[in-house]
Amino acid sequence: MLDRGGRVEFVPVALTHSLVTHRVFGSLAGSLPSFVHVFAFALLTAAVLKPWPRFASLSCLAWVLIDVLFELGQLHTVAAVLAAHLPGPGGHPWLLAQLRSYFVSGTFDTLDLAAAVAGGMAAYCVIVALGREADRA
Amino acid sequence: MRERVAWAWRAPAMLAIAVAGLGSILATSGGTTIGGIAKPPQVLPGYDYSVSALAGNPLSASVAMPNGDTAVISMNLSSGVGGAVTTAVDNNGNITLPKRTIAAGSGMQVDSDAGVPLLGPFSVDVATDLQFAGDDAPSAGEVDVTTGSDVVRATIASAGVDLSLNGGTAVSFAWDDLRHLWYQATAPVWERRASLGVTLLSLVYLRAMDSVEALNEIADNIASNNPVQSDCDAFNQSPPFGVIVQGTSTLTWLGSGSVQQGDDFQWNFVDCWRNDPVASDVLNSGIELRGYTRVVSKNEYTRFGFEPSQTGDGGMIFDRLFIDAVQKNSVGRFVIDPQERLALSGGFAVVFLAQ
Repeated sequence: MLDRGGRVEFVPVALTHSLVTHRVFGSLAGSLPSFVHVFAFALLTAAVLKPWPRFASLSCLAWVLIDVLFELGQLHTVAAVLAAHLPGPGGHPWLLAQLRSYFVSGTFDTLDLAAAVAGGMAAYCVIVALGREADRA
Repeated sequence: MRERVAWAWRAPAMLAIAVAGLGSILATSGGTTIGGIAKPPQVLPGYDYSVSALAGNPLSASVAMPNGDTAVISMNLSSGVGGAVTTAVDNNGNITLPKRTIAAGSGMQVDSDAGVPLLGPFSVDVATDLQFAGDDAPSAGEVDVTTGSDVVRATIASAGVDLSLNGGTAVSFAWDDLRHLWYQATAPVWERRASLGVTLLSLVYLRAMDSVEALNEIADNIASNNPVQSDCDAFNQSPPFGVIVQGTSTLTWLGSGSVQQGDDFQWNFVDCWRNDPVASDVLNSGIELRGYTRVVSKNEYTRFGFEPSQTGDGGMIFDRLFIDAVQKNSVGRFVIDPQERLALSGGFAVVFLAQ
């Protein structure tokens, strides 16, 4: 958020703009959110599903899949098709208009795909490691 | 039974996580330059810009003389007009330009006698950077207007502009007054020539900066909102005779599918008042915006504007764009002098480049 500038819902514009010329995360800034998003939500999901360890890997896979699909939706040809079926800026319902804005305004980046997969793998590794530690205890 | 109890709190927790996960993706998708998890291209803090001549489409302005003749003023931009801008992004995702310069070395060759005799040929050269804060009139800089061996230096001062002929005693003008001097037959020719030179330079600069407004509209999903109509500045008291209180501009994309490199646009104005301190003008007629350029490198906008390509023409092409200078008369009413109306034809390429 700090490195991207622009407008983020629920976050003061001054905050997102104030540091736009100072990249906190350097060259990682672009794809780091994709990694962190999958990593964090896979772990959260796995924590809730702790009694059923078999779901741990599935939670990682599910969040990777979600982020990859959203990324693929920003491919120019895919975004054009989606945009034709979703309400325009300011349209209703808000969620669909927001979804359209995401696909149309976003930029497809293979590095984001890689970051999402890496985030899922990292989460899985953490889950496995914590599971083994729990077994030893 | 135990599993059902376990799910009792886990089901809403899972739902909350799902909502938060998807919401956090979509939360960054508002506006026009914003992406979600995927990065949108970033607007750099500053750009250089360049205005250059179009082969086969030279820039000119015509003005109707009191005797019914038409004066034609040709502007040769072969030496180019350029400078630098800093950028900011407002709440709507639109690019604004808080600081701008016209760099030293910018200039043009003017022949005001291309139609009937007016003020002769002369050159306009920026001697030291002209500095602007936003839409304000310049705060510093020097411009030379040269005819033969005579050089008029226009120096931006705190209260306006000082004009000096060949290093002689300076004559001071308010910025707005200087702009209206060129068509006043009673003023000395050298002052009128300097006025016309600075006015033409301002005119090229302003139209180049206007292109950013069109680029904002294009970036704001014009493909799904074509054409885009915008309100111009509104007169807060009676407008000049024959002008409506609030005019409009309409940008039409002349393409289909999705906006592509090289696309063309038509930008029409109806009594569109630009209440800028640099030049308070009412625009009518239209501008063709050809050869849309937008280059993204490493997810940053590195080049944008309107320019020719290897496969097609491009630039800002003026379809006799009528420019009426607005001023206030002695009793404070907005007026337009029809004799001062310029009709702009031809065009130029304008591009903004990463510094």
